[in-house]
Amino acid sequence: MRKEIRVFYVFSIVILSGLWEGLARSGIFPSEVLPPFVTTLCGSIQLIVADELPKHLLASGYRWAIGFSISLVLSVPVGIWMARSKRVYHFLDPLLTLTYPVPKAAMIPILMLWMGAGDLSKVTVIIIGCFIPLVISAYHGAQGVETSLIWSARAMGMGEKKILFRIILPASLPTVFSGIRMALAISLIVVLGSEMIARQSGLGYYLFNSLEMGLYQTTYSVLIIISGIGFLLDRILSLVMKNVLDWV
Amino acid sequence: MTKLVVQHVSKVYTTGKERQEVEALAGINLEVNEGEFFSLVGPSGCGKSTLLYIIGGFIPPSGGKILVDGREVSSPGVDRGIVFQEFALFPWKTVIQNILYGLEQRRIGKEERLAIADRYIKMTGLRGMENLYPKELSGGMKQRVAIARTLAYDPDILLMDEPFGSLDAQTRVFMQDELLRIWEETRKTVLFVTHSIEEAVHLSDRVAVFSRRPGRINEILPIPVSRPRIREEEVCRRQYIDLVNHLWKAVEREVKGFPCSIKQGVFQQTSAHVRYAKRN
Repeated sequence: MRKEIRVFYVFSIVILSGLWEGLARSGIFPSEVLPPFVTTLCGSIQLIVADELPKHLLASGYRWAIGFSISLVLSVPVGIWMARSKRVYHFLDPLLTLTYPVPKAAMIPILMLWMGAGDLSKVTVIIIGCFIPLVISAYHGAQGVETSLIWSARAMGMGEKKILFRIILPASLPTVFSGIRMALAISLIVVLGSEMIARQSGLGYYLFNSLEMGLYQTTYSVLIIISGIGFLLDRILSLVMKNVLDWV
Repeated sequence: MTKLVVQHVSKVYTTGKERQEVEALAGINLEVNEGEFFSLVGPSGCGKSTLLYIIGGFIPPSGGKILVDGREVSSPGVDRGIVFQEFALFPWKTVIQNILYGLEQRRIGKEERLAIADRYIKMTGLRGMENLYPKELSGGMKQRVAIARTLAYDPDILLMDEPFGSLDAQTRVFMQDELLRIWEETRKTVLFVTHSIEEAVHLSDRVAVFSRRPGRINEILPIPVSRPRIREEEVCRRQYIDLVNHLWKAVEREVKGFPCSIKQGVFQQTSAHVRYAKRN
């Protein structure tokens, strides 16, 4: 991206925060309902450096990292398997289509009944939440591998196992990565949702507690932190993509 | 010496919702000699490429068999290398890595692999591009990589499926001469599928003319032009013009007898032919 064009993405953030600031200062809303942006941002920084928020951040981050990695490790092989075998595809496709629209938040109370209100149920719901978009992307990636690539590898004397790991997997990577990007957003929503329902610790716990206690400024500050984390994770991911997929 | 024998090979596809059977190849018999450059021409959709894939072992024939050096083959093997129209390079590998990929399957040392890759990089004129990704190459360059990659693992037979079909006219002519030069150097047995009759005459020792679907070999025409062939001289000769015209007529006969125009493309031809077959 050219430097001059990159400025626009700073613009949009500046305009958004300017609008916020203006609206808050205009007095349309009482200041406890919509505190000014600058105050809120200072609050966010304060929360991160001073308060007990880092503890909750770590708790959420730890659950998210475990759930997301397990989901990734499980879903990619399943997606590729679906692409390679018509039977597996026809077996799993209705299951995925049926469960996809089920709100993941609705599953949390059920999972809690089974697994307790601790980390296990929360990690499980993250795994489930990311699983389908990841499977679908891996399936499409593996499905789209050109036959001529596989035939070329066969002609070179590669066996089926080698073709799977050295041809189909790398060839599916670009699609898998776009699935990871989608699952990233979903996973953050699921983490916060699960912490809202089973309140013990975490960013979601902190967010909804402050909301219920009427500490709106803290709520806004936490929201800024959450969107900042989402933004940061997405940037990191696109940086990784740029390096891993420099051949695309 | 006979290198490749195609014995009564036929192929029937089942296609479409109504599970119609389409006969793609009907009893192909063919013998290709060692070191020979052999081309297959014919109307679109006549099954030339299908035959090539059967010889490669990528799809099974419905009947008949393929013999290489007298031994029956039914699966892909390093004795038969293939080059596709759309190059089929591994996009996540650089030029040199693509060429090395095939060699890694063989039990030879790294030094030797690099030396072999280097040799074919030089032969195909890819020097200086070793570390580029396929996306950074032009069509002609990509096809050079594909040829180098296939030659590197040293197959006895080179199967080429319209390798220059997606190149622009100038690059195509240039690549034909490059292929001839490489072939003179390696003397592989080449089975070459093309839509271009001039290309077939310029390159080949013999040219087989396919009938329209179901594919049969109507005629095998020897090209008794001495080598090395120089395009500029060749194209003015009466002999070359006669051979090209002869083949054009042979293909035209097949196309005109077909229930729809060749311009309509393969898909429509297929459905038209299915309808035609049903009526009869």
